[in-house]
Amino acid sequence: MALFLESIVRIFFGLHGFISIITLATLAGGVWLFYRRAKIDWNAGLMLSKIGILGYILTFLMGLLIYPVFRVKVRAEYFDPNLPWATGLFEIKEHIGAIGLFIAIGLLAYYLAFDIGQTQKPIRQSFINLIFLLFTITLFTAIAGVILVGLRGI
Amino acid sequence: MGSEESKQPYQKEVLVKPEHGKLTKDAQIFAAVNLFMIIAVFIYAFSGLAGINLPRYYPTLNQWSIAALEGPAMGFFAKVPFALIPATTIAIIFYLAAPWLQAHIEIRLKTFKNFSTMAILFGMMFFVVEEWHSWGIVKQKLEGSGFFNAELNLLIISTAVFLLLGLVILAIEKKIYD
Repeated sequence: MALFLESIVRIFFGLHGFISIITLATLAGGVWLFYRRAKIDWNAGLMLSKIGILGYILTFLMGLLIYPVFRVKVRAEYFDPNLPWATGLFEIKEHIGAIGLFIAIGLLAYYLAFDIGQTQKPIRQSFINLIFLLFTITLFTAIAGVILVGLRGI
Repeated sequence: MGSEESKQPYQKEVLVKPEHGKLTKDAQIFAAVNLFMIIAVFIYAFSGLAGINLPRYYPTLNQWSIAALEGPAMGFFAKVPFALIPATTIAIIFYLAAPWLQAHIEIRLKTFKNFSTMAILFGMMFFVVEEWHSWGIVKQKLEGSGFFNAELNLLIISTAVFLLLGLVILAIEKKIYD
């Protein structure tokens, strides 16, 4: 029996990787702009961060689509019996990625509810904390993903 | 005994905080959104620890099942909505009840900001430790019998990472608002 989306999984796999790179770059840019320019101008950082947050959610969804094939063809057939540490790395990536999704949803709610650049200090601090955490999670999952693909791709 | 204070009539203790009635819309929304993140992380982390029997997808059978079936199983597809749905529900209830709740609990921006930041950090490190212990140590048969073993190394490294992330967050806050 063919696995779910097995025939076109490489398309989603490619999209997963490509969008994740854009996500990482935009979140990094957002964090950097907030760190350097928050006292001057929030707008550029806010724009980049929004792209990064949407990219994160899209990357997560692409990951869900390729997961069934990965679970069988890569993890069950190769990682579990031969490289259990790689399965551990993937599991950490998966769970931390889910926490990143919760952060991304929370941040989208911030964008909808607040004029972030003008709002109260604790809200802006929270926003920056969460963007930094989301960037950290994206960086980790990207590095883990590269390592795992290097070991065995879909 | 002749001070003005001693001649003041006895005042009934005020049970409602001075901030009562001053809950801003921003604080109401902010607290609810942060509560969403806190609850989502908590349920996501502890549903596995508690051993909740969530439905699993079996990709080789193209079937969902709570009972164990043959072949690789995927619990992730149910684990995420299992955290999101109650977190969203609780956050909405909290948002609606906040004007009444604020007379009895502390609803402040900083409190919820700090709670959610710590909950996320804890959640992240929980999975690092849990999964690496399982797959990086136990399944690789690297467990040591003495005190100075792989598990201790894992704890030391994860504690260091936890502290580092916390310090970076504090440094970012200071840098931006000094």
